[in-house]
Amino acid sequence: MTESPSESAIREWCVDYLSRTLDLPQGQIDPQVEFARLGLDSASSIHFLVALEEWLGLELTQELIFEHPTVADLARHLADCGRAERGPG
Amino acid sequence: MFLPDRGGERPELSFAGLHARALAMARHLAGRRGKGERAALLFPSGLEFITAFFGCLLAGIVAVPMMIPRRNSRRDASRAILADCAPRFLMTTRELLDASRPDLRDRLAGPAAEWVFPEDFSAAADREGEAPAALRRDDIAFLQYTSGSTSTPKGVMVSHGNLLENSEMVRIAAGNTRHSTYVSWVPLYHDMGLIVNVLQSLYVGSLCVLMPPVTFLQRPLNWLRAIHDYRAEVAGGPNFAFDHCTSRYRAEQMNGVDLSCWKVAYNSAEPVRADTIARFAATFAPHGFDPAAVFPAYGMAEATLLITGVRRGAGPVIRTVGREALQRGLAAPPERSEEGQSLVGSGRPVAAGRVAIVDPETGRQLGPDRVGEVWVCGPHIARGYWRNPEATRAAFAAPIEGGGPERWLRTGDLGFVDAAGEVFITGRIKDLIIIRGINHYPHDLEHTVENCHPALRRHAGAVFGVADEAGEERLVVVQEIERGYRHQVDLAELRATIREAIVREHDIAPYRIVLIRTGTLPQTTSGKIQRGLARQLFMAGGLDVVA
Repeated sequence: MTESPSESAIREWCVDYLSRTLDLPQGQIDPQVEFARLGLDSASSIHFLVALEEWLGLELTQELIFEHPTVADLARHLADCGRAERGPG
Repeated sequence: MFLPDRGGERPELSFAGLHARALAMARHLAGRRGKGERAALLFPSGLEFITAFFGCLLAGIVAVPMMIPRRNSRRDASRAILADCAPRFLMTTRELLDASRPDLRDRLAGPAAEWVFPEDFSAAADREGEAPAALRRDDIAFLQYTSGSTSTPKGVMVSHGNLLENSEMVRIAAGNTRHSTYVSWVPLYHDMGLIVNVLQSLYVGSLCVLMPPVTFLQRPLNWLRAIHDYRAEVAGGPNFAFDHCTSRYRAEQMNGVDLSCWKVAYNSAEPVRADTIARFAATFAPHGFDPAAVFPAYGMAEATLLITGVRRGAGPVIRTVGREALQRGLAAPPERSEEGQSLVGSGRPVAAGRVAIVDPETGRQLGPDRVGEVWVCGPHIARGYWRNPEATRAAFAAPIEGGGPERWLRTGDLGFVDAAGEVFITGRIKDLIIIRGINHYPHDLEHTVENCHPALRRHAGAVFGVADEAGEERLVVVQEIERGYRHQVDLAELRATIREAIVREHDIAPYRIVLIRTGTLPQTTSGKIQRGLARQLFMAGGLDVVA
């Protein structure tokens, strides 16, 4: 990936992924709500991270979901990581 | 040997090194006068668990393997297990306790417990001399808590004699030798991970390669690559593991992988499915996988582990029976082709192990092809449940009506034995739900649901398992709403609250949450919830759903 996705693009991707795999309408996936409330158990969170890794081309640790427990929080963190990796300093 | 998730150094533990470190640890424990006390083992993936386990055995301390409780979970099994077995020692790694999970220190430590870290004991210590404890075959080696509900857990007392007998049974069925290298990702607190992998490879003197469960869940094909790399003969897991490999198959990730070394692909701890086996064999045959390596087995902690298994190289026995006859308790060929159901045999008992099919109502033994409860007897049957004589009598001491003097283990599973002696498991008497190889008791889940929100009516919920489109068992929650709340709550929010409670406390993502009208959940006249009937109504779309 030449340019890392923006925070809002990551957020959209996550909402889309979660609505497909958790079988919930997109409107019901509030980015401020914790993953557990959306129904993400440890097995499904691993699949979520793998899909995210493939899309972003980044290696992610499992702890990420605990440290950033909402879509909004996770997207902000990942966008910052992307900038740090690519940016001049 | 251990393969860390992110590559890098691969720690190894030799037989001599394990003995020396476990002995050093056992001497320390003996110095603390620990014989007969319990030690809770809470370890991240790695080799430290094994040192701790054998340190306990050598010191005559009863090991209690446990899952590390999830962060942020309010109510989980660990508290009740610790209350039940009252451990004198808590064992883990310093790294886990000091760096990644300092919360465990307050959460787990009782007033009398001391922490012990296996990495404190070096292999350089004095290797001579006797083990500190003199042990007999009947002494308890460890407690396996896979049974009983979260609120009243039952610890199966597995003796040293049980372990030796069952290890011999596994050796015979799997045809293992010191060349039978193992590659396993199954967690060591699960009896399959411990007994089939670690203890069996020690028993036959072979190499055991361990990888973290999370590696397997994220990248299942890495497991197959490790089987290739180490030329492993034996590797397996619950049924879902094989589906997971098939669904994540990518040809380019399998370049150069040759699975022709794999002789025993054991499949156990969940119902074994014929379509899973067929798909897996078809997908991986081009990579050298031999369908005759498929090794269905059946077991449970109450029988140490293995009860029945096929024999190495024989392959599975698959029988097509009629669904309607099966529901009436008879395994017979289907009357019409569309009502045929493929059942995978779980093999036969091994050595001195015996299996009988018994009518659970009358206690009489049933003949071939008759469905009844599976009863088991032999030297592998555990000594009972820890400090629970009542549950022990109910499960471990059943006599067969008109049979011999021996006492049988009642498994709670339904099945039949065919004329050739092959055992088929067809269902369960208890409403147990098995998800990813872990047993969940409906009562626990229902308790969580009814307590998570005041709009939910007490003792008016039912949970059960259904197969999803992929054939995997999933959780369905049916729950009544209190009449007065119907128009006061947002139903989507209420479902989210239930979902969150189940994820946090049981780590399962519910498949469907159905809210129904007050007084419409099927119950017996005495008020007992009829989960089977609720399930039938759910499948038929006959529940009185609140929308």
